Amino acid sequence: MGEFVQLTANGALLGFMYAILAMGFVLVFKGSGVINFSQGELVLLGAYVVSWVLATLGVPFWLGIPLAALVCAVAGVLIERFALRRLLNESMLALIMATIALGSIIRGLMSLIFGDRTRSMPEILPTGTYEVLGLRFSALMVWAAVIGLLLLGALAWFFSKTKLGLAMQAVADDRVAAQSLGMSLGVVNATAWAIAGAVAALAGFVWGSFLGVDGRLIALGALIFPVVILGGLESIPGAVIGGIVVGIVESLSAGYLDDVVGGGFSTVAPLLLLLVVLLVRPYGLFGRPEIERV
Amino acid sequence: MTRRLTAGALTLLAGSLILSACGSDGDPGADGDKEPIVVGIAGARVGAIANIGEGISEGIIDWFEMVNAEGGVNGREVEIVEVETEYEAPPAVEAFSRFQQDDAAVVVTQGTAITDALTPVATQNKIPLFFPGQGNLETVDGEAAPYVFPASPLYAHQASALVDYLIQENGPDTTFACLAWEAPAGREFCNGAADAAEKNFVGEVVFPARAADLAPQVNRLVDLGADVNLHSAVFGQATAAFKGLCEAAPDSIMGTWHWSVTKDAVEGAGKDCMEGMYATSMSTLTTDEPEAFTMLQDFWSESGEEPNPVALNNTVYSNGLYFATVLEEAIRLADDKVGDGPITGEDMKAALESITDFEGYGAACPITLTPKDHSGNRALNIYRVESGEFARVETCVVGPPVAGEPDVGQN
Amino acid sequence: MPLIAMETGRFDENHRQQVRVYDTPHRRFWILTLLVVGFVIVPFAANQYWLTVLGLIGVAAVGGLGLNVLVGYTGQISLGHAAFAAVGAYSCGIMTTRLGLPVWLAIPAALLCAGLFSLIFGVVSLRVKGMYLAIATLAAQYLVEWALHAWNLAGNDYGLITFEPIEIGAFNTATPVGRYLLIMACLALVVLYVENLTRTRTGRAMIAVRDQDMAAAGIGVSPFKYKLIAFFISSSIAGLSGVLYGFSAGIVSAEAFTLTLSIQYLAIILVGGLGTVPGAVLGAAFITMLPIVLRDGLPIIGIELAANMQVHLLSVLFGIAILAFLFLESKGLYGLFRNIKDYFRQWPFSY
Repeated sequence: MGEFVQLTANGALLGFMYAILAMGFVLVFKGSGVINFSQGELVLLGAYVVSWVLATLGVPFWLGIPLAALVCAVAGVLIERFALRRLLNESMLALIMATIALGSIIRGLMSLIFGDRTRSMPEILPTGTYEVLGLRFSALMVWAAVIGLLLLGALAWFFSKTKLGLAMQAVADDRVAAQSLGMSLGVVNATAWAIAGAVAALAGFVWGSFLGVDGRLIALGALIFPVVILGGLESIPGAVIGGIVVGIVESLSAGYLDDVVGGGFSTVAPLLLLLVVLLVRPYGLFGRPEIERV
Repeated sequence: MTRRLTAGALTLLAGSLILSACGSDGDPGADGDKEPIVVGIAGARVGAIANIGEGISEGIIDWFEMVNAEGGVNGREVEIVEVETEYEAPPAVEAFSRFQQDDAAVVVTQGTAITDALTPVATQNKIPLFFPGQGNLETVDGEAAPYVFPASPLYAHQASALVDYLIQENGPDTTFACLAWEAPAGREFCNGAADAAEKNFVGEVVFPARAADLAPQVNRLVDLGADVNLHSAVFGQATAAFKGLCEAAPDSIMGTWHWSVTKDAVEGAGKDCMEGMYATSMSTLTTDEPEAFTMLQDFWSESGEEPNPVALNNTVYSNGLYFATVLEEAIRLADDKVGDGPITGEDMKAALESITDFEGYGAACPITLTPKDHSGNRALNIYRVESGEFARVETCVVGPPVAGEPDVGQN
Repeated sequence: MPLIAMETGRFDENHRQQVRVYDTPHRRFWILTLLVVGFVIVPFAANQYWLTVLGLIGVAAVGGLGLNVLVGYTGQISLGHAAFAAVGAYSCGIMTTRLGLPVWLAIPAALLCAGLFSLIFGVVSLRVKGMYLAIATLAAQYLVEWALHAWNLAGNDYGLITFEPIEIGAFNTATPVGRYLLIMACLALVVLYVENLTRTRTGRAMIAVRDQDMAAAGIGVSPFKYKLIAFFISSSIAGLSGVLYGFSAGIVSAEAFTLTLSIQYLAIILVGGLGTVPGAVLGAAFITMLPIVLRDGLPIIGIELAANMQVHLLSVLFGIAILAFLFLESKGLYGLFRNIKDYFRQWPFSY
C-alpha cells in the first residue's frame, strides 16, 4: 500500500512536469490550429537559451528567466511569421511536415551553436528530497509542480481577463466568425506562438534542471501526445489533468507492470492509453466533441 | 520566378553530386613511398551515446596525428576517415561502403548495435571491425565472428570484476541489484552482475532508452534493498540514475560500467552524491597519466599545438587512447609482414590476432589476441570517486569466469 | 522539318488511350532505356560503393512508394511506417533464419504480416483522421520500437536477426551486384504495381476517399473498406522495404527502424511529389544523397567540417529543403521535372 501511494504521488508530480511541456503545445493548437511536432525542439531551444543566459552571461535568475522567455517568444513569433503563416490554408500533412522541418532546423542550429556536450543548468531549483508522512518527494519535482500551477493560473487569467486572451478564445471557438468580427488571425496566431515560446523557455528551464541540457530533451516532444489527447487538444486545465493521469499511469506501470510484460513498458503504457482514448473518446476528457469523426 | 529558383538549386545539387562522385578518388599520400593505411571510424558523436562517440573519436584522431607527425607507423601514414552514424544502423551501412571505397583496412565502430549491424558486410568484405569495450559476448569467439574484434573485457566481464571486487571489500554477504538500459548491451552488463553475484543478486530493473525520468525505476531498484546498486546507463540517463539513487538510497553503494565514468555524471549528480561510487575501466584514465597520454602531451607542447580539452573533460578519451594504441600496434605488426605493399583487411585481421601482451603504452591492461580469442583481455581497472575525482583503487583485476561466454580456452 | 518535339499537348481520344501504362511512345522509350541502364549497364559499370548507395536509394524508394499509397492516394497520414517495415523485416528474418522456411515463401508471408499488423492501426483510422491518425501511428512507431527491445523476438539476447544470402544459380545476394539486382527487381515490381493501382477500381476508390470521403460514400465507395485496403497495401510494401534492407545489410536490429526513418519516408514523398510514382523514386534519391553530397561535396568547395557538425548542418538543410518544397514547389521534384519538360516541349512558343 505504501508503495502504491508513493508511486502515485511521484507520478502526479511527474505529471505536472509533463503539463508544463504540454501547455505550449495546447497554446499553439488553440491559437493557430497547428499541431506542433516540434514542441520537443522548442523546449530544447528554451533550455539552451536559459542556460546560456544564466550560466554563460551570468544574469541573475529573476532577470534571466524572463529575458530568456522573451528571446524564445521572439523565436516563436518568427516561426509563425516566416514559416507557418505561409501555409495557412494548406493540408494537415503540409502543416505536420512544416513543424517537423522546423524542429529539424532548430535541433541542427542548437547543436551547431552549443555543441554536443551536455550543459548543466545552474542550480536554482532546490535539489534533494522532502519527506512528508513517510513519503519521499524530489524537491525539484515539487518546485516544478509549483511552477506548473503558477503557469496554469497565469494562463487562466490571460484567457479570461485580457482582451487578447479573449480574442484567442474566440478564434479557437470559431475562426470564421471571429474573423468576420474584425479580429486579426495573424495577431492571434503570432500571440499564440509567442506565449508558446515563453512557456517553452520555462519548460526548458525545469526539464534542463532535471536532466541537463542536451539533444535528448527532444525526446520529450513525444511524451506530450498522450497528455494532450487525454486532456483535449485545446484545453489548458486538460493539459494539467492529462499530465497527472499520464504521470501516474507511467509511474504505476513502471512499479507493477514492467516485469510482467517486459522491461521499459512504462513509457509505452501512456501510448496504449492514448490509442484507447482515440478509439473511445477522440476529443479527450475535456475537449469538445466537435472533431470530425469519420 | 520561384520555380526557376528551385530549378537552380536543383542544378547546383546535381552539379555538386557529380563533382563529389569524381572528386573522391584522391591521390594517395604522395610524400611517403608506402601506401597509407586507411582507418574508418563509424562515429556516434550525435545521438544516444554522444559522449562515448566524442571521447573515442578524439582520442584516436589525436593519437594518429601525433604518429603521422613523427613519420607514421614504420614510415607508413595512417589516414583516418570518420563518418557520423548518429547511432543508427542504415547510415552505418552507407558509411561502411564508403570506407570500402577508400580501401579502409579496419573500421572502428562505436556502440554494440552498430558493430552488430555491420558484422555481415564486414565478414563478406573481409574488413575487421574494431570496437573495444562492447557488449556482445558471442563476438569473443574468433571462429564464430572472425572479423569482429572486441579486443577488451566485455560488459559481462566488467560486471563480474566489479562484483567480485565489491564482495572482497564488503564481505561475502554483500547483495547486488542492477538497473539495466533496455538495449541488449545494457542488459548484458546486468546479466554479468547477476551471474557473478549468484545468490546475492536480488534483482534487476530495466529502464527504457526514451525514459526522461528514471524515478519509478530507481525507486523500484531501491525497494529491492540491495547493498550495492549497479547500473548500465550512459550519458544523461547515467546522471539521472546517479541522482535518483542518491536521493532514494543515500546509504547504498553505487557502481557502473566504464562508459559512465564521466565528469558530466559527477558534475550533474553532484560531488557529494558521487562520493564513493565505483566503476570499472578498460583503460587507464588520462588523470592517472598513462605513458600514452604523456607522449601526447609532450607532442602537443613540442609542436606548439593546443592540448585537446576533450582529453581531460571527457574521461572516455582514455578509452580512445586504448583503441588508438592497440590499432597502432596492429598496424605495425601488419606492416612488418607486408613490407612496402598495401595493408589489406585480412592483413589487419592477422595482425590483430598476433598481438601479444601489449599494454598500449600504459593505456591498457596486457592484451593477447589469438585467432580463437578476440577478447584477449579480461582485466580491468577499478575506480572510485574520491572528492569529486576518479581514483584508481585496483589495477588490472580479473573477475570470475562469465557464464554464457563461448569457450575460447581462456578460462 | 524542324518539328522535333513540338507537341502542343497530349490528347487522348478514347478510354483505352487514357488508361495505358505506356501512354506515349516517348514514355515507352524512356522506360525501356531506364530498364536497360538499371539492369544491364549499372551492374557492370558501377563500383561497389555506388551499387550500395543505389541499393539504399532503392530500399528507401520502395518504402516511399508504400507510404505514397496511404498518404498520396488515400490521404491518410502515417508517422509509423518504419514500424511496419520493421514488422516485415523481423517476420521475414524469423521465418527464414529461425524457422528455416524457404525465402520464396517467407517474403510474401512477411509482407502479409506487415500488412495485417498495420490493420490494428488502420482500425483507428476508421474513428479519427488527420492529425489524430498521425498521432496514433506515432504511437505505433514507439510501441514497435519498444517491443523489438523488450521481447526476445530474435531468439538471442541481442535482438539481432541475420539474413542469409539468397542464392539461385549465378545470382547471389552475398555479392554487391546480387543485392543491387534484388533491390532493383523488387523496386521495378513495386513501381509497376503502384502505377497500375491507380488504373484499377481500388486505386480510384482510394483517390475518391482522399478527395472527399463523404461523397465517396455517397456513390457507393466505402471509405472504411478502402482505408483498410490502403493501410494493408501500403504497409505490405513498407514491409518489403524492411525485408530488402535486411538482405542488403545481412542483419537487422531495432536501430534500423527508428522514428527518423518514418519521417524520412514522409520527406521522400513530399520532396518527390505527393501521389506520384516517379516522385517517390526521385525523393528517395534526394533524401539518401543529401548527406552524401554534403559530406563529400563540402571538402571540394574548401569547407572542412567535423563529422558531427556535418550531421547538424544536414539537419538544418533537411528542414530547409522540406520547407522550400512546401513553399515553392508543392508538387515536389517530379512537378519540377514536369515543368521543365513542358517548358521544352512547347519551346519556343510557351503560351
